[in-house]
Amino acid sequence: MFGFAWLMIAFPLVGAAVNGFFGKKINNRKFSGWFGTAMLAGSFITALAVFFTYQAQNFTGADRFQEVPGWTWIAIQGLSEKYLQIDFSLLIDPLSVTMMLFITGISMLIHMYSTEYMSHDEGLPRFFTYLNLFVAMMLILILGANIPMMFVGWEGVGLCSYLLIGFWYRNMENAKCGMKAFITNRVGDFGILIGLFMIFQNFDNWFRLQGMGDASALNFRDILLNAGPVLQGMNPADVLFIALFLFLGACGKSAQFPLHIWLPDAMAGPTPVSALIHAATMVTSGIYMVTRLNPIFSGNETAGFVVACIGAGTAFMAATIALTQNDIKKVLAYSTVSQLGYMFLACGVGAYWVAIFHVITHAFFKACLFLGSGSVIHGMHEEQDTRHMGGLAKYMPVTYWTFVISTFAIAGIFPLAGFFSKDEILWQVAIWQSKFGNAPAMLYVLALVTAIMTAFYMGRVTWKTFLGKPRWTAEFVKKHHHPHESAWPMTLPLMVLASMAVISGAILFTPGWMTGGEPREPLAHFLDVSAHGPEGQRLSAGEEHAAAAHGEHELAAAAHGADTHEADAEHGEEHSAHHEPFMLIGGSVTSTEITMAFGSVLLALVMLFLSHRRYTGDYDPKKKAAQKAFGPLYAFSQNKWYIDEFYNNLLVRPGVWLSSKAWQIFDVRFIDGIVNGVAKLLGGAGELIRPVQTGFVRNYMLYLLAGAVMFMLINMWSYLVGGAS
Amino acid sequence: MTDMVANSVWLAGLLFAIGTLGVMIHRHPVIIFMCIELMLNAANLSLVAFNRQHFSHAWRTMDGQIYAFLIIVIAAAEVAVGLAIIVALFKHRTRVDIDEINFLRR
Amino acid sequence: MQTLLLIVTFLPMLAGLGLLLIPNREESLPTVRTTALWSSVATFVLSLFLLPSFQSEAGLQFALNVPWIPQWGVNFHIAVDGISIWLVLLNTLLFPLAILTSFQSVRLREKMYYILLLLLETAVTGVFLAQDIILFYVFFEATLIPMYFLIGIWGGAKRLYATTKFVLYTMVGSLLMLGAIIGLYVKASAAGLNTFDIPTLVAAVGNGTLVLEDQFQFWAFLAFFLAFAIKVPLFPLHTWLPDAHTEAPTAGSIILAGVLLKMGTYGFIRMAIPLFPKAPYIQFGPVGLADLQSIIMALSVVGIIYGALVAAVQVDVKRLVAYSSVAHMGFIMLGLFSFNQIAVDGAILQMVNHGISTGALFMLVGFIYERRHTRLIDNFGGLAAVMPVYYTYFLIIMLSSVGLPALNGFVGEFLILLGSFQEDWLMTLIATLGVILAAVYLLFMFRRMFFGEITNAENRNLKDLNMQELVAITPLAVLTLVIGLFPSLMFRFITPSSEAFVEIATSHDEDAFETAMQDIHIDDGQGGLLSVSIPGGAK
Repeated sequence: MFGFAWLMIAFPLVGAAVNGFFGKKINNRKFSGWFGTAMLAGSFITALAVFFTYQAQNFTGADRFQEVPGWTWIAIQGLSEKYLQIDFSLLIDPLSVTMMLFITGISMLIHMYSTEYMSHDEGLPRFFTYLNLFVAMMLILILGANIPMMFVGWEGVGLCSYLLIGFWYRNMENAKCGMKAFITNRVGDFGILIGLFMIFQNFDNWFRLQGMGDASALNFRDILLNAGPVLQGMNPADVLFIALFLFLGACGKSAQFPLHIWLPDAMAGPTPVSALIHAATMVTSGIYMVTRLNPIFSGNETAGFVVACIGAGTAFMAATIALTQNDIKKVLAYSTVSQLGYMFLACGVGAYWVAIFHVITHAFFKACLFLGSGSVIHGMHEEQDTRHMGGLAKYMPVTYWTFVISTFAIAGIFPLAGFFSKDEILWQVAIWQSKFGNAPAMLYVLALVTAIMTAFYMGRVTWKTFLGKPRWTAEFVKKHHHPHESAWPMTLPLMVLASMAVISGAILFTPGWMTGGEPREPLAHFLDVSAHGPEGQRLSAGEEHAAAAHGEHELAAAAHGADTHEADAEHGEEHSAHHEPFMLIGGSVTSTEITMAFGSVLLALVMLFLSHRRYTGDYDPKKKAAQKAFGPLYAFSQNKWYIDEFYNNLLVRPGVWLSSKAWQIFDVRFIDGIVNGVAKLLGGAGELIRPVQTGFVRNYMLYLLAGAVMFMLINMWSYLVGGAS
Repeated sequence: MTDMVANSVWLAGLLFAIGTLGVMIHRHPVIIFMCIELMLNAANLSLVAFNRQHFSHAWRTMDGQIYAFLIIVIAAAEVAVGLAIIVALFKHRTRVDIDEINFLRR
Repeated sequence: MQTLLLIVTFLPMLAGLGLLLIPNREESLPTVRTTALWSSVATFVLSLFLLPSFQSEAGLQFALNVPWIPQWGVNFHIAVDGISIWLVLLNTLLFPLAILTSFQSVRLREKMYYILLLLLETAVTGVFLAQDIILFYVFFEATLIPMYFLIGIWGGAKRLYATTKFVLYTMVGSLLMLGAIIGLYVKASAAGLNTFDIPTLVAAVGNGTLVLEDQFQFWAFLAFFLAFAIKVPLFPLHTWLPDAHTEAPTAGSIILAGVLLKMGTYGFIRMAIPLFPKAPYIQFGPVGLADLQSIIMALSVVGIIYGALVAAVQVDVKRLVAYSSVAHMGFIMLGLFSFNQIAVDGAILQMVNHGISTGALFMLVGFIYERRHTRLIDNFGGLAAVMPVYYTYFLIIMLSSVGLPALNGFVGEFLILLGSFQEDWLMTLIATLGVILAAVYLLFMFRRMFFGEITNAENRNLKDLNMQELVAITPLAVLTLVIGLFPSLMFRFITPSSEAFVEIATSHDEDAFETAMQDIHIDDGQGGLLSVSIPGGAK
C-alpha cells in the first residue's frame, strides 16, 4: 500500500545523482539549485500522500506498523536454520510519518533558500549533491524498518554533515571542524552499535525460546510489539546498559554533553546547512531514536533519570555559553544544543510525544533563525560577528521581523509555537513522579532558569544585530555602503517558517486550561496511536510502562500530559505517595499550570526587555562592560566551560603520544628488534665460518678430498682397530 | 677374474687421484672439467668392475652398469651446462682463470 | 565444470609461460602487456561462469581429484565451496586491475614483471582451490617466489630489506607447518589413512576414525597457527607487513593486501581449525589459565586497537594503509575465532571486502605516487581542488574502509561484531572502539591530503585520473556499493559452507560446556553484564 513511499527517498537520490554526475557539465547555476528543490518538492508531496493515505486507513493494533518491503539486505540462512535477517525496508507508522512531513517540508524550503544563498559559490552542484543526499539519508534514518537501517541513515547523515561542514575545504579550519563532527559522532555510534548488539542478544534469545521464527530481533516492529515481556524477563541492569549505550549514540548525534562539542564548530559550514542539518533535522535524530525505542528507556527508571539529567544539564550549560558568544551563528548553535537538551529532558521524564512536539516547533523557529542569520550574513557580505552589526532592521525588514518572531517563539512567548512545546515540557517535568527524591524539582528549576537565559541571550543577539547604532566595520562601509535585503527565494522561506513558528504550536496542541475542558491534542493523539501496543499498553508514553514494569499503578498524567491534569493528579496522590510530583502538593492543577505558564512567560518578557535596554541605544561592545562586571564567570562562559581544552589535554594529546610511542618503541624497536636480532645472530654465525669460502676451486677440492679421506678412515676404523687387537 | 677386478680398482684409484690432483692444480676451467670427468670415469670403472664381480655370484642384476650409464648421462649434462657457463664467462672477461672467478664470494 | 576450474587455475600460468616466448624487445612490449591483461581478464570472465552452476547447498563441488604422488597418497585435488568461490573471484578480479595499473607505473623489465604476476595469480587461485594438504602447501609457498621478486626488483628504496624480511618471516611459519603436516601424515597413516586429502582427513577427525590426542592437536595447531597468523598478519607478528607494503610496487601492494593476506585466514577455515577442532579449547597454563581461542581473540582485539593507533601517527600513506590492514584483519580474526555463525559469515565477507577496499586504497595511493613520486602525507594537501574525480573515488573507498553503512565494509564489520558479541561481550566492546579509531586515522589522513590550501606548488598542476586509471578503479568503487547493499547474494553461497565450518569448530566447545556443567566450580567467564548469555553461544 505504501510502496510509493520509496519515491520519497528516490527523489533526493536522483537529485544527488544528477547534480553529482552531470552538475558540472550542465554548468547552469540556476539548474542545480532548482532541480534539487524540485526533487525535494516531489519528496514533500509524496510525504503528504503517505500521510493522508495513512490517516484514511485508521489502522489499529499491530497494523499501525506498516512495513514497506524493499529487498533482503543481510540474510544469514543456513541449511535448516535462519540466523539473521535484516531487510532493507521502510516502516510507516505515526512517528515516522510525523518526522518525514516536517523534514521534507523544511528541506524543501531550505533548498529553495540555498539556490539564492549559494548562487555565487563555485561548488554549487557539489553543494546540492550533498544536500540532496543528506535528505535521502535523513529519510532512511527515520523510515528504516530496523535498527541497522536506521544506522545506515544515521551514519549517512553524519557523512553528509561532515562533507557540508567542510564544504569550503580550502580553509583547513572548516575541514577540521567537519572531521571533529564525524569523529565525535562516531563515538556515539559506538554506543548505538553496542546497544544494538545487546538488543539483538536479548530479543533474539527470546524469539528463539518462543519459537517466533519470523520475528527479527532488530526489527522495530518486532521489538516494539514484544518489548513488554522481553524487558520484563531481562536483568534490569541489562536494560539500563542498553538504554545508556543507545543514549550515548543519541548524545553524539544530538549534541548532548559530553559529546556536544562538535555542533558549535559545525557552524563552519554554509548557513543553510546549519539550518537544515544542525538545527532542524539531523540533530533531532537522537530524540527520534530514543522515542522510537522508548520502551527500553522507560523500562528502567534510572535510564530515564540519566537522560533527563543530561538533557537538563546540557540545556543549562549551553544556555550559559550562549550568553557570551559574539558570533551570531555560535549563539544559535548553543541555543540549539540547549533546546535539544530540553527535548531529552522530556524524553527522560517519559513524555516522548512532547519531545517530538518540541522537535517540530523547534525545527520551524530555529530554521527560521538560522536562515535569518544567513540572510544577515549574506546582506553583510560574510560578516558573522554581532559586534560589527547593529541597526540592520532598517535595511532588512523581512529578515528583521521574521527573526524577531522566531526569537519570541523560542523564548516561549504566548501564543507562539515555543510557548506550547516548552511549557508542556516544563509541565511534564513538574508532574513527573520519580523515585529519585527531589530530582524533578531540581530539574524543573534548572529548566526554568535555562528558559529565562534563553530569552535573554536570544534577545541579546536579536537586538544587537538589528537595533542600536550601526557598528559596521570601516572596510564594509567603504565597500558596500550598507547591507541589503535578500532576494525572494531567501525571504519567502523565512516568511513561511516564521508563520509556522507562530501557528504550529497551537495547531498541534492546546492545553486543557485554554480550551476550558478537554485539551485539544491532535499530535499526541496521532502519535499515541502508534504508542499503544497490542495489549493496550502505551509504548510511546513510557512512564506508564515503567510503572507497570515495576508493578506499580500508573499515573496517567505523566504518561500522557494532555489528559485532564486535575483527575490525573488525584490519581497520583492516591496511588503513589512515594513518587509524588513535587508541584502538586495541594492546590488545583489548572491554576498551578496557568500560574507556571504565565510565570515563565512573564520572566521571559522581562528578559527580552532587559536585553533590549542593554543592547540598544548607546551600547558599545568596546566598553566590555559585561566582561568587567562578571570577570572569571564571563571568561568561563566565553571559553565554553573549557571542555574542548579538557578533551585536548586528556584524550587527544595523550592518544597521539601513546600511538607514536607504541609504534616507535613496540613495533620498530621491540618486535623488529627481535626479528632483526635473530637475523643478525644467524648472520654473525655465518660470518664466523665464512673464511672457509676462499673462492679458490683447489681449496674446495682439498676439503672434498680431506672429507673423503676422513670418511674412508672412519669406514676402515673397525678394520684398523680390529687388526690391532 | 679377481685379478681383473683388482686391477680395475687400482686403475680407478689411479684415475681418481690424477683427476683430484688435476682439479687442485690446474687453473683453466676446461682442464678442471676434464679432470672431473676423469674422476667420474674412475667411479664408473669401479662400478662396472664390482658389478661384474658380483654378477656371477649372488645377484643377477646389472645395477652397477646402469648406474654407470646414469653417471655418464649426468656428466654429459654437466659438461653441457658447464661449458656454456665457461663460454659465457669467456665472452664476458676474455680470460678464464678459475682463481679470478669468485664474484659470489663477495 | 572441473575443466573450467582447471582452466581458471592454470590459464594465467600458461599465459605467463607463453610470454617467455615473446622476444625481449622494446617493440614487443605492447604484445606483452595485452597478453598479460587479456589473459587475466579471460580468467576473470571464465571464473564468473562458476557462479551460475554453483549449488549453494552442495558444499564442495566441481571437484577434480587425480593421483599426483600415489606412493604418499598425495592427490591433485581441487574443488570449490561457498567460501573459496568468492576468494577466487576476488583474486581473478584484482589481477587484471593490478596489471592495468602497472601499465603506467612499471618501466623496468616489464616482461618479467607480467610473467611473475601471472604465475602469482595461478599460485593464489591454487591455494584457494586446493583440497590436498601438500597441494595447498605447494601453492602456498609458490606465492612467495613471485612476490619476492616483485618486491625485490620493482620495489621502493628499501626493497631488499623488505622483501627478505617478508620471505623469511613467512617461511619460518610455513616450515613449522610443514613439520606439523608430516606429523599429521604419520598419525593418519598409522590409522590406515594414507592420504593428505583435506575433506577425508577432516571427516576422519570428525567421526573418530582418526584420533588425535590433545597434546598433538595443540602443538600441530600451534604450528599451523603460526604459519597462518604470520600471513594474516595477527598482532604481534605483523611487522613484516608495513615494510612489504611500503616498498612493494602498486600492483604488489594490491595483491598482497587483496588476496595474499586472505590465504592466512582462509587457511584457518580450510585446514587449521577443521583438522584440529579441539585445539582452540584446550586449556593450558597453570590451572587451565587460558585456551587458544580466547588468546587469539584477545590478540585480534589488541591488533585492532594497536593497528589503528599506530596508523594514526604514520606520515607515509602506504604505511598508514598497511597498519589499517592490521586492524582490519584483526576484525576478521576476531569474527573467525568467535565461532559464531553470524560472525564467521561476517568475517568471510570481510575477507572479500578488505580485498576490495584496501586493494583500491593502494591503487589510489599508487595513482598519486605516479604523479608526485612521494608518499608522504605532508607533501600533499588541497588535492580536492585539483583532482576532484580522484577525490571522489578516494572518499568512497576511504568510507568503505571506515565502515560506513550501505558500503561493503560496514556489513562485514557489523556482522563480525554482532556475532562475536554473543560469545564474548567484553572483547567485542573493545573491538568496537576500533570503529571509532578507524574514522580517526583515515579521516585525519584524508583531511591532510585533500583539504586546505594547496601548500605545495608541485601539486598545483596535477592531472586528474585518466581513462586507464578510471577503468581500473571504477569496478572496485562500484563493488563497494553493490556488496554494501546486496550482501545477501554472497551470503547465499557462504552460509551453507560456513555453517559446516562452525559446526566442526564448535563440536568440541559443547563438550567443554558439558564438562563445565558437571564441574560446578568452573566459571564460564561470561556472567555479569549479560545474564542471558549461554556459554558456548546461541546454538
